[in-house]
Amino acid sequence: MKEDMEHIELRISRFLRLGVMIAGLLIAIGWVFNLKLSGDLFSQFKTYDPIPLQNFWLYHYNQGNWSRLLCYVGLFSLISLPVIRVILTGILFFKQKDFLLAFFAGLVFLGLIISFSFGFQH
Amino acid sequence: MDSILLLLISVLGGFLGSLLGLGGGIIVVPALTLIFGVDIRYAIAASLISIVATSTGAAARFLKDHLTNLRLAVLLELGTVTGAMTGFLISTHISGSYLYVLFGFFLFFSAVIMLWKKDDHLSEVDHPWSVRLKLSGNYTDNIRGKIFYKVANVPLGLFSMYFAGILSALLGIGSGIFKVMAMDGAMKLPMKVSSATSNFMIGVTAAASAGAFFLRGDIRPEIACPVSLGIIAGSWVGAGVMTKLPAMTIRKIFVVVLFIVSIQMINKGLQ
Repeated sequence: MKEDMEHIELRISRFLRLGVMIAGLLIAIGWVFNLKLSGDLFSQFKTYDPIPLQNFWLYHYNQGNWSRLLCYVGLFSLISLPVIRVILTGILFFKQKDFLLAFFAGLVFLGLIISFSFGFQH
Repeated sequence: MDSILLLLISVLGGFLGSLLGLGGGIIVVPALTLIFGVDIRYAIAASLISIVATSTGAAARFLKDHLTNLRLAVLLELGTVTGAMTGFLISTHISGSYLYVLFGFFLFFSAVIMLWKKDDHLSEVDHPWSVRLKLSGNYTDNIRGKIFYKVANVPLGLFSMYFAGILSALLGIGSGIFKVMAMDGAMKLPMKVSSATSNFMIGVTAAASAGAFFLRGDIRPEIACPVSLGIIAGSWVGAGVMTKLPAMTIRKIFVVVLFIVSIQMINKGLQ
């Protein structure tokens, strides 16, 4: 039981480490190229004026601004890591026949999805 | 040029955060708002991304050291994620000036907590929920050998996590201070286990609201990219040199800085 738990922890640990590295790399490449193409855009954030992600994505997709899109992919990958970690934890608890904790992990996942959906509504 | 400066400040934030056991948000949000004049909502959203990055990296390290109580983390995440959802909803109805004031008070409180160091007070009795879910555990201490611990007051801990989740989404912080306080104070866990388990949960708490902010368009690459890259780099360097630097001296200096910045944030909110 304890060995199984340590095995689970090591597998999740490896996944998280690799995930941060890949997401960080995507963000870094996207940001550097974006900086080169678009210059410094920093001053536009003095006032709050959010533009929904889907509008932004479509705009940059149509413009062929791949560096900006890569930034978004990197940032989304980073946000997704804890979500995937919750799924992974749930599956591994399920495999261990620890159904109550697998159920809790499922509830946490559901909570994350509901929380994400708030971003579309507000 | 501002972006490069922000990257450098974020490296410093990640470095100091790692050295002092804090999230980068405590440095990045005041820097973005007070130095660059960025609206606090963009600052909070960018800070949440950096918290996901650092917590995920730290979680990998703590899991490897077997300090994280994975079973307890899954249970308490129910509280933090629900809290983060509530915090996001509150953030859509609250004005920026309130957020400045709230953040200022949070910094002030963090500074006080940093001055207050306490020893472990382990529980001798397992709470019934802990028995049912097999939450008690053990870890190996370099000096004291194998430490066995039990988990007390599980419902109170879960309830505290709900409030930690609200503050995380509202202020763009990891709420690690509150999580550790609840686990250490109410649930009577050893400090090392509290810190590691808190760090493990912070990523999920921050992701809950970061995902919503991301889809709403609050997370903008121009700010979030340099902040997250800087924090990741700074925390890696900090983790590598933390044993070689006089952490106590740095902590004392940082407490003074926190007090000053907290007053500035409150002042800005009241203007």
